[in-house]
Amino acid sequence: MKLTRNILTCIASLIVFNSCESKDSITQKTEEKILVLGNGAEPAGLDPQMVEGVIESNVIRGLFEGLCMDHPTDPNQHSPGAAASWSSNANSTEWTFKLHQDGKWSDGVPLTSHDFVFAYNRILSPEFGAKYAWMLYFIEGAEDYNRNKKHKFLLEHLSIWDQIKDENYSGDSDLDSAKHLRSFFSKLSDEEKRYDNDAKGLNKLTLEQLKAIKENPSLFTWSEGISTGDQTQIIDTYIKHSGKDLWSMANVGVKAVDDYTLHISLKAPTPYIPDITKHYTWYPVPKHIITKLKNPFKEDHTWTEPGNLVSNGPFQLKEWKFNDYIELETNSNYWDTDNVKLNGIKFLPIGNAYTEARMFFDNQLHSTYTLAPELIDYSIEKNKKMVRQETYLGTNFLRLNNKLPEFEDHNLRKALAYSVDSQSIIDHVLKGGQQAATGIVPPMGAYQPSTQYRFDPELAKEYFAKTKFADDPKSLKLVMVTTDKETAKVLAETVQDMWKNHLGINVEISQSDWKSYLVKVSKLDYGVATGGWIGDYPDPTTFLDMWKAGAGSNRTGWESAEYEALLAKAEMTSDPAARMKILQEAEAMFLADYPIIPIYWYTSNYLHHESVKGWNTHIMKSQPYKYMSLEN
Amino acid sequence: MFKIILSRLAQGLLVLIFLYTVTFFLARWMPFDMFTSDKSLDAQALQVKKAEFDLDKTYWEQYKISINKLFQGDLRDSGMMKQPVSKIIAHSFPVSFVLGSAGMLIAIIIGIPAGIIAALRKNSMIDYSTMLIALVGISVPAFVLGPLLAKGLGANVSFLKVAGWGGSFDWVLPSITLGLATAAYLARITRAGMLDILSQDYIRTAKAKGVSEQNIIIKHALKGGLIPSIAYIGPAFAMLITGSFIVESIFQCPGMGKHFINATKNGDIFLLQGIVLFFGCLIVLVNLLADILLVALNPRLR
Repeated sequence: MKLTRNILTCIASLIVFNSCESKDSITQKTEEKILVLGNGAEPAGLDPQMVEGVIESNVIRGLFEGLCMDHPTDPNQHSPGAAASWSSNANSTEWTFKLHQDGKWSDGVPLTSHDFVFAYNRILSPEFGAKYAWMLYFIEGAEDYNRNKKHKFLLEHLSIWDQIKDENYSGDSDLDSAKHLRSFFSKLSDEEKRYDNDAKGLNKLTLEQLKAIKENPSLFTWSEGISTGDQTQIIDTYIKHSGKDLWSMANVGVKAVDDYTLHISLKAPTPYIPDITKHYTWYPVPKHIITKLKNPFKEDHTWTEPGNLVSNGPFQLKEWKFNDYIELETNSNYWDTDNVKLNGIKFLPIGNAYTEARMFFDNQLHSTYTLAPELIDYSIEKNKKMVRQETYLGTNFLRLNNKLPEFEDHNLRKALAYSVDSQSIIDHVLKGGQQAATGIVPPMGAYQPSTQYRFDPELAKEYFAKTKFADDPKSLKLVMVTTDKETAKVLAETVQDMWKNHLGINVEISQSDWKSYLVKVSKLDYGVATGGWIGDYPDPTTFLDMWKAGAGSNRTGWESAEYEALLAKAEMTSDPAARMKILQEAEAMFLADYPIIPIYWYTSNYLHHESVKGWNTHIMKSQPYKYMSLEN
Repeated sequence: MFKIILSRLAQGLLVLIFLYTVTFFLARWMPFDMFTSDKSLDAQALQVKKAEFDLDKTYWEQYKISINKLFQGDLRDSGMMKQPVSKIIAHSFPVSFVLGSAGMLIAIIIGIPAGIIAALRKNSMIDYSTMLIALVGISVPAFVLGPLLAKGLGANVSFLKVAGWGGSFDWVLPSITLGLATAAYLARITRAGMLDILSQDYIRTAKAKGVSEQNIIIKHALKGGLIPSIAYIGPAFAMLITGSFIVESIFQCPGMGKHFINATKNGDIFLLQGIVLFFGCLIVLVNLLADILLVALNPRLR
């Protein structure tokens, strides 16, 4: 009934209030100093600790502010954000951030270091389940806390630790404890109790369950070699600390020294931490608001609704018309509000790139989210000054299924790699001024990109001649999986054609929707897969960590202990130049196996109105709105 | 009459229960779910998230919970949009309803007169040209017609926009795009229905009695000739007001069409279940109305 009433009210308001609004011209918006942006899709929420995408980030960057901020012009410098100043020890492991004394939330409540501690506790909390929690793993103890390694905090000091540290305390995810949970724990049979305990693991058991195990140790499957005495000692320790807050046990390296001083201890030297603090996962959240929620550590989106959302950035949420637009207005409580030149920002969730371009040329937008490849030539012809093509922190590549028997022969991988003509793909398919990729890490800062990959059909043929398919190229059966995105499809067809021309092989293309594609690739149910990766922060590790054995984004079946050792070594190196060198070594080691075929380094192509000032190129296309202004 | 309505309602309810149940299980058999993502969730976080949506329970338990909540009027939250499904429907349905109703109106205003005229001037130039235009109307898809209208009218007529929502006339172009194809179908159906009636004996008798052509059409032919059209309008109207992904995306309207597609693509099962159920209710309702109208027009059905 409520639904019906809502619908009726909405229809009525559509008819009545729609009657007199003038054309939304960009000239008028420029005069009002309201920036109108195309933003791809409706954001899946505005809680900076819950979201995961560029679309959400675009709005959240206006609402919230991290400790450091991008410099208006120089990408190698940082400006004060929520922190007025910061300093670190010589090897960049201990950082102290001094917050603005007059820093406030948009509701006027002071912004203190406790908000940051609370925020980092919340996003890392194992019960919160934040997707992007690993962005804070730079912090000492953060990963152990996030992964609920309660046993480590509790048992590490015991003499038996060395003996028991490899036990599984987090439960066996293969066991489905839900199967038995039709009644209360006390009513279960012993067999069912043990099954439930094993599935959950000691770390997640309640006091009742722990006590039951103490009385009857066979209610938990102990591995051999743990004596009855040790079992009692372990259970006693768990019982003693039961109900205690995991955060306080974990001793994560985030401390509020006083109200305006935040101290962060990192697990390894990280000179680029100011860059990391610009990522939304590092933003503060209003402790005074969130602690009032029913459960602050559960996903709850009531606090981000218009009227409720309190933020610390240059703007605050004015209106959110679902699926229609999100509008921000200046936050008068922002510490630097005098220097904010815009009066507001309006985000339109335009999913159709052609519609977006039409709206731009109809003077409804200041800047588009994207520009379809087919429209690039047309737009340049129409108005060259309005077309932006900027280097973007991302790589497009083909994954090879390294577990496939055919790919055991590296000559085949090399033959495939050297017969892909990236430049021709860029010139004829993408047309967006991309750069042919010669390695996985795109050019950034002081990092020297690899030069291993190139187009060399003769070399490709040489390698192919060494494979067992040389005599009968048609006997090689490969499936190339791709998404249903038009550009991915055309790219796959182009590569298919190149391999046919240069090597004589036939590759079958299998297209599926985005999520089915992800499932296939994750299960290694493919031969070759189109793919891409956008960096989360401007450091090579964002492109190198993903090839670790356990990383969910690996999806090639490639692994190497030496590679991971090199990454670990880089992590412990505080000298930036030496560190970059080790990372270059790691990349070279990875590429030497030809587990992937890099195709191009991204550019972001979009349409941009000349009336927007202070919008500088940005490698992650996350230009701070704070410095922007509008002039007709 | 009352009996017919009652039996149709009971049938409708059965259909809805069946629809909901089938959707419920099909949605859970999709190869992916709402947590499938490029940046994959680690096992522990995944467990937490699944528990929040009761997805760690057995299908049967989930079904019981869902039905229970359904009776409390709770369609649950969308996994992707982080909003209650009922709120998403409440916000987007009015837009689709306005677009669809205007589209239907356009279809009726154009389609029915065109069909009648074509039938009356059977095998004349007027008939051929009307039916040719109708054939073109059916064949040209919305993703061609929409952009053409946007470029042709939206960019040039001062009060129209190429796309966008919020202005007084923003419904015009999407409604035309939606309505024209329906108008074309309607013209063809009306023509066939009218031709069928015009060849009936009682019309010939009326003609022989010297009743004027105008009277024959209005008093005798229309009532029977429009029955197929009305039978078509019912479901067509339901289709139009449930929103069109393509038209909404071309003209950037915050309607319902996109949610249905996105819910399926994202494995957003609660949104999918909610929207399918809502569509089901609408279709049952509109069909019921069409049935009542048909009974009123056709005494033989009484």
